[in-house]
Amino acid sequence: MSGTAAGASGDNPVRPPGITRDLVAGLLLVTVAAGAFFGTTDLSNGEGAGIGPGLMPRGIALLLGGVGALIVVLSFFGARAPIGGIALRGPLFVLGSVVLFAVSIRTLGLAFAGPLAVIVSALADRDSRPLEIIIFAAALTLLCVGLFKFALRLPIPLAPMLLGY
Amino acid sequence: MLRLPRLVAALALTILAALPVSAQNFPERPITLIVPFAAGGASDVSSRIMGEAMGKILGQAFIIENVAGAGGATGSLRGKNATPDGYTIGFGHMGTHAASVATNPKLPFDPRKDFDYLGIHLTTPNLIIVRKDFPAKTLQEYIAYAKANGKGLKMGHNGAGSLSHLTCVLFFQLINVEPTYVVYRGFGQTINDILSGAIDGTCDLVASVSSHVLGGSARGFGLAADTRFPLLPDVPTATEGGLPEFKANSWLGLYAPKGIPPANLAKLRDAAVKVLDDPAVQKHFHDLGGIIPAPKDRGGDRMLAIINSDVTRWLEVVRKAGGVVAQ
Amino acid sequence: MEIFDNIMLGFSVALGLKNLGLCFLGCMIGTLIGVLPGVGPVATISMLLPITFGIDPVGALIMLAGIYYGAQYGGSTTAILVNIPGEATSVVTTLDGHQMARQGRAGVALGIAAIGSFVAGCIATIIIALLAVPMARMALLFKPADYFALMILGLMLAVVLARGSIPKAIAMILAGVLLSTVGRDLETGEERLIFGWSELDDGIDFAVIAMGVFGFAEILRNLYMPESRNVVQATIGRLLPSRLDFRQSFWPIIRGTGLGSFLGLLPGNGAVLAPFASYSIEKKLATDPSRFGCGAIEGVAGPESANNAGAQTAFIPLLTLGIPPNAVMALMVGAMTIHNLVPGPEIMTKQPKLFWGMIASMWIGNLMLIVINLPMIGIWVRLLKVPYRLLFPAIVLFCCIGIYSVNNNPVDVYLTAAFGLLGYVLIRLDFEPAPLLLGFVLGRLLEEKLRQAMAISRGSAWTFVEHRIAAVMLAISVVALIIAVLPSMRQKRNIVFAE
Repeated sequence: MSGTAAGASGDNPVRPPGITRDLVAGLLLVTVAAGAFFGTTDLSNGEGAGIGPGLMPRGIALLLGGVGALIVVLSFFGARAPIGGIALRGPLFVLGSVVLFAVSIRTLGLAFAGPLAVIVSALADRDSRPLEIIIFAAALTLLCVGLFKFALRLPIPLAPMLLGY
Repeated sequence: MLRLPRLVAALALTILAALPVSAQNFPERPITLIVPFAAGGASDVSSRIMGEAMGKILGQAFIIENVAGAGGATGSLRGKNATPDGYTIGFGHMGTHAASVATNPKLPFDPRKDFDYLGIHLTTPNLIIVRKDFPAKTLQEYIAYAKANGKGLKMGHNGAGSLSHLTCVLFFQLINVEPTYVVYRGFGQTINDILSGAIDGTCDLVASVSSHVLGGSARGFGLAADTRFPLLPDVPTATEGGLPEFKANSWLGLYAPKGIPPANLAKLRDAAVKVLDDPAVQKHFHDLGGIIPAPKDRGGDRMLAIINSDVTRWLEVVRKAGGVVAQ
Repeated sequence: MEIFDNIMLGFSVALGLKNLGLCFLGCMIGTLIGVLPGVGPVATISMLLPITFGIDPVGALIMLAGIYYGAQYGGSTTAILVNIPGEATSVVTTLDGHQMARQGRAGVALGIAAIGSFVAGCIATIIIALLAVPMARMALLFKPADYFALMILGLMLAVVLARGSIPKAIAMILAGVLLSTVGRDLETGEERLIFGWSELDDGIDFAVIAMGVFGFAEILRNLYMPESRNVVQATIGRLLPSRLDFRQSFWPIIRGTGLGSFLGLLPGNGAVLAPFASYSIEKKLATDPSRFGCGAIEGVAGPESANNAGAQTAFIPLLTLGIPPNAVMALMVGAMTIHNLVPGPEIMTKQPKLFWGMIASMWIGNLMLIVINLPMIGIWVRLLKVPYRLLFPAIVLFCCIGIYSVNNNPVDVYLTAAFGLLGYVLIRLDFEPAPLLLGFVLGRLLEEKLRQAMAISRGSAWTFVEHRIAAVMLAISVVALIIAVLPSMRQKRNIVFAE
């Protein structure tokens, strides 16, 4: 649960706010489509029997842009769901812990990257209890080491700095 | 109860083991072998067989790490940049450590300079295979058919820059024909369309196609080697078919990053050569459809020499073809 | 009759104490890795390959096959309980399976998934035993043009499968297809939509997108809306399906088995389509389609059966033609070559013990899996009692390890985090992630088959009409699209006019 979220409940249509979810959704699609279309301009459509590498992404981008535009138009009619607040705490800590795991797995190894990921991701939740999560992180890491490293023999670095593997 | 002398011996051993790394004790911990392809293919299987056998000689386990990506460049780059202490070595083949120089303009290493090679452990020649109801029965008939039909000949390959693609490019350069290429993601999809008759054939390694030729579901000829292959005694060589210039032998080998301690390198090289005399290894490799190199073709120096000549050769083939960029 | 002799031979091999033990071991490992989010059967089978060096080939393959379909069972458990599809084939199970879990019917969903899979596995095994050779020959009738049409049909089914707004579902499918084109082009080696980032050369891995837009995004949504996570924990309900559940699931299981058996035998990885096709058909046939997406048991029973049947019949192209239809089967080829076995038509005649032993072990494996899985349902459901504050960090860690071990590359982990963010944004904008994944899975095949078909026909688009299978499937696709889009168009117009 994030503290920054305001009006998080809103699936029910309320007064028309200027910006609706569908409007943002449609604009996002149009942007992605435009990026894909102009990002592939240097690729050929192909000639003769051969279809080039550009045909498919550009064709799909055109279709996607069309559907995006349709969603933008439709967003001015019908039920209007407001865009709602944006929670920062969840994405920051959960995705941050994933990034930390990626940074540390090859240098520090699973023995350190594991508990790091568990503890940092737990910060995303207000309900987390410090002592509990530290013990849990250690136990879970032990379990993962036993399971992945020794039972399944995946080549995950354990603690390269200390053990060399 | 421990008796004193044994305790002393154990202590001494512990202290010895804790001393700074000396070549005498190498290897003291498991050795990582990087395979730049996904598990299950011939590259991976041969590396596992090598790792298992070398591990027995060196007294340490080998950990196989599959680092797939960019046609082998991702894993090979990791091998090049690994700490040069002998605890990380890698696998490379004709595609990753020779042809890549010609097909990958962004290749992040130079196979002629950046590695200390341990030796080639397996070679497998290439050949042409066609669907079983294809009109041509021999290489001569096939060449005649190709010249007569040109673009009407539909040849599959396993992706830009793959060994099957390069072999096809080499072959059709030699006979000066440009067929229609149909591109597949991997050999499984290519052979599917040959069996179903959607395309005419492909150029690939004996190791991949031997089962289909043996089983009669496809026909092989134009083996790109000097002599017939023991597993496929009925498949004539390209020389027999009148095209002796068609020679393409794919090799698989091991390397270490440049600059590992000479004593460790010597131990690894020694082990990599010695395992080739192990009957169990020989049987495995034979079953894979490969040939173990003759004693004169083993070892790191020979591997480097072959790489140097193969790089030059593929640069020439690719230049003539007007450029081939690996997928 | 010869077939009985063969089947008896198979059982005499598979019921040997050692092979029985290996089958059990394989099923256990498979279930375990299937349940763990992110660790797929491909990584595990490749790691266990060297262990099988020492076992005789029949035993080795029986164990590997056990891992493979054990993982299919386990994958549905994760899809139902925590809404993370471990494999492309369990994406559909998340739709209604997880909704059932939220309604306190997790045990029922797990039970019907296991029972449906068992029935499908039994029927598919019989099909393999009786019809392997003629079916393999039929599979070879499919040419690239036909596969292209099949993929188009699959994408149309994805529109049918959509829960909410049709334009948004179509947008997600298109976005999925677009994502599948990222990476170096297979045919020319040119960079596409990489924007200079060479880490994307090989395209994006399915696991990266699935863990991101399903796994991490689901966690973020639950953190954002605490009330939704408590629903799962509040009620447990009954553990096994009731008589009514069985009656509702009977025909979906039979239809799913039929679809899965057929699609699984196509060497172009047709099995990925099976659960999607089954779901769409059940939704179309249902008297009240609006229940789908809100915990309809048919939406679990059908796709799960289709999935398992497809997993079994995928052995047909491997054993009879020597063609591996997917990555796991390609590993089986590796395992067979290590043991000097040549996958192909000779397997049946030259290695009858292996061929029939494997078939018998498939049936035994399915039996074992249901025996292992039914009592475990109680344990799995209790897992939902674990406080969410502990459950979600554990899921994060398992996903990280799983993603890393796909290629042993941390870049995949970074990418998954990025897709987690994307998935979160999509959820907040009322997009469904399932059609995105389907578009992604089918997109790559769609383009490859289109280009192959056009190269073979030397540029003539008539090839899609000249190939009868392709023509029929394209016609069905058009009809399906019209059926899917028309009612919503009418609805939309009504809304517009109501304004």
